[in-house]
Amino acid sequence: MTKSYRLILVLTATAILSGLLLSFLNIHTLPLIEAYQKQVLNDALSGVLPGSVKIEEKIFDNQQLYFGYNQKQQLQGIAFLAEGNGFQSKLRILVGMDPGLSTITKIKILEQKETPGLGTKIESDPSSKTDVEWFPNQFDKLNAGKSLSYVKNQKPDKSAGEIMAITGATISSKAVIDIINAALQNTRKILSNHTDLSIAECTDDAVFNEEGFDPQLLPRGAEMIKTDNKIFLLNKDRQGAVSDVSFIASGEGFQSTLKIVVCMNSDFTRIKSLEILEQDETPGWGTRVISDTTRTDEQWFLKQFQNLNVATGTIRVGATANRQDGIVQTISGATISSEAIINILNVAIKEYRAAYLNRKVN
Amino acid sequence: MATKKSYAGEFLKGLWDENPVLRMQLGLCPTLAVTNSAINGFSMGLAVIFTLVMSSTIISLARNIIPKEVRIPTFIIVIATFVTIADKMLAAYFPDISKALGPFVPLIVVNCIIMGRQEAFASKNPVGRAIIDALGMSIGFTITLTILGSIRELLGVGTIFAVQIMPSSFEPWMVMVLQPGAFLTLGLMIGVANWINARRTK
Repeated sequence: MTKSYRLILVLTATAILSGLLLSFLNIHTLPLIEAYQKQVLNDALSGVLPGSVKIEEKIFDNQQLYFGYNQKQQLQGIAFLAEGNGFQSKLRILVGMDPGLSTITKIKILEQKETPGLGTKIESDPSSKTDVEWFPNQFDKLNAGKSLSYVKNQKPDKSAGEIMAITGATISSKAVIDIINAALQNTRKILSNHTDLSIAECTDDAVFNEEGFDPQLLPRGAEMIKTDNKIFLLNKDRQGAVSDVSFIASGEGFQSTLKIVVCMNSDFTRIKSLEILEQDETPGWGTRVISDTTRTDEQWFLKQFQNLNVATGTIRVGATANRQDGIVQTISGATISSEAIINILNVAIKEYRAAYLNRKVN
Repeated sequence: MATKKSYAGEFLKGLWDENPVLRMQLGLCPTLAVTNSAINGFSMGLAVIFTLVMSSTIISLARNIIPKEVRIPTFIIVIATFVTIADKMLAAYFPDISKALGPFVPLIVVNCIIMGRQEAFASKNPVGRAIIDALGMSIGFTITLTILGSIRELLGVGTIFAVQIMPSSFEPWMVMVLQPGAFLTLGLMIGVANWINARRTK
C-alpha cells in the first residue's frame, strides 16, 4: 500500500513541477513569440500594401482582410491571407491588391515547406542569376480581373493574369495560383456582402493621370460618367445611391497650371476633399498650398476645404476661416497661388454642378 | 556496469565507440530529417545537448527517489519539459532556426538517444558521471549531424554554413538536400565508420 502511494506521489510531484516550470516559461516567451509573429506579418503587410501608413485588420467568415490607408485616410489597398495545400506542405500567402480588387500589387509567401530546391522557388530561387524572387515578383501589378493562370515555355501575358510556372515545380506553381484565385473569390464575395467596406470615401487621386483618369484603376463601386464633355467619377453607397462625385478642376496659378481633384457630395453643396494633382508654383512660397513648412500642420490650407459649404455658390476669402459660410484663409507669401485655387474652384464647381445636375439620366 | 571508466573515457565513448548515430543507430529520424544544411544539423545538435544534459542531471539526482515501476513515465515528463523549454526558447530568441527545424524540436521527446541514456546510464550513475556521459553523447550526435549536414549542403547547394565553397561552375546535386540524399550520405558515413572500426580491431 505504501508502495503505491509513493508511485502516485512521485509522478504527481514531477508533473506539478513540470507544469509550474513550463507555465513560468510561457509567461516569458509568449510575448516575444507573438511580437515576432506580428512583426513578420507587419513587414509583409507593408510590403504588399505600399503607400499605406495605417493598416486595419478585419475578420469576416474566417477570412482575414487588411485595409491599408494613406495619411489622408484614403483606402490604398486591400490585403488578404490565402491559405491552402501546395505540393507537400501548407502554403500561406499574403496578397496585396488595389482597393477595387482588380490588380495584384504584390504577394508575399509567408509559409511553405515545399521540396527544397524545386518547390521552394515559389519563395526564392538561389539558382537565378538575375532575381532570386523572380517567381513571387511576377505577381507585381498582375491583372486579376479574370482568374490567374500559368504558362510554360512562353512569355506570360500580365494583362491576362498569366505567370510563368517554375520548371520542375509546376504543381507548386499551380497551387499558388489556385490558392490565390480561391481566396480572391472569397474576398470579393465578402466585400460584396459588405459594400460599405469596399467603397472609398472620395475617389483616390491615383485614379487620375495626366489625361484625366485611368479607367483601369476605377475603384470598386465607382462609376465613370461623361456629360457635356466633362468627366465625373461617382462613388456609390450600399443602396446604389451616389455618395460623392469627383472631377478635375484646372486653371492658371501664379506661374503654372494647377490641376485639382475635387470631391463633392452628390448635390454639389459641400466639398468633401481636395487633392492637388499637378502644380509647379514657386518653391517655398506657392508650394505652400500643398505643404506649408512654416506651420505645424503643413496641409492646413487644403484642409480648410474639407466639408466646406459651397451652397452659396462661391468660396470667399476672409480673415478667419468659416466652413459654414464658405470662407477660407489665404497663405501669407502665396496669396496669388491661394486665390488662384479659390478662383479655379469657383469656376469649376459652377460649370460641373450645372453639367452634372442637368445630365440625362437613363 | 562491468567496468568503471574514467571521466575522460565516459566522455569520449560518445564521440566514437558508442556514437549514437554512427555506432548505435539511435535517433535516426531527426538525423535524416533536418540535416539538409550544416546549420540545421548543428542547431538540432545544440537542442539535443541542452535537453540531454538537463534531463540526465535531473534523472541522476532523483534516481534514488523515482520508483522503478514509474521510471519511464517520469523520464518522459522530465524530457518533455526540457524539450518544451528548448522549443519555446528557440521560437522566442532564434525564430529563424525554429522555423527551419519545424516539428523536429518537439520530436526530440521521442528521440531514443535521450530516453536511452536515462534508462541505461543516468538512472544508475552519480550526477557527475551522468553529465559527462550526456555531454559526450550529445556532442557526438551534434558532430555527426553537422558533418552529415555539411556534406549534403556542399554537394546539394555548393555551400557549407551558407558560405560558398564550390566554384560557380558546379552544378548542385539537388538530390542531396532531398530525403534520398540523407539516406545515401548517412549510409556511406556508417559504412566508413564500420570500415575504420574493422581495421582498428584487426
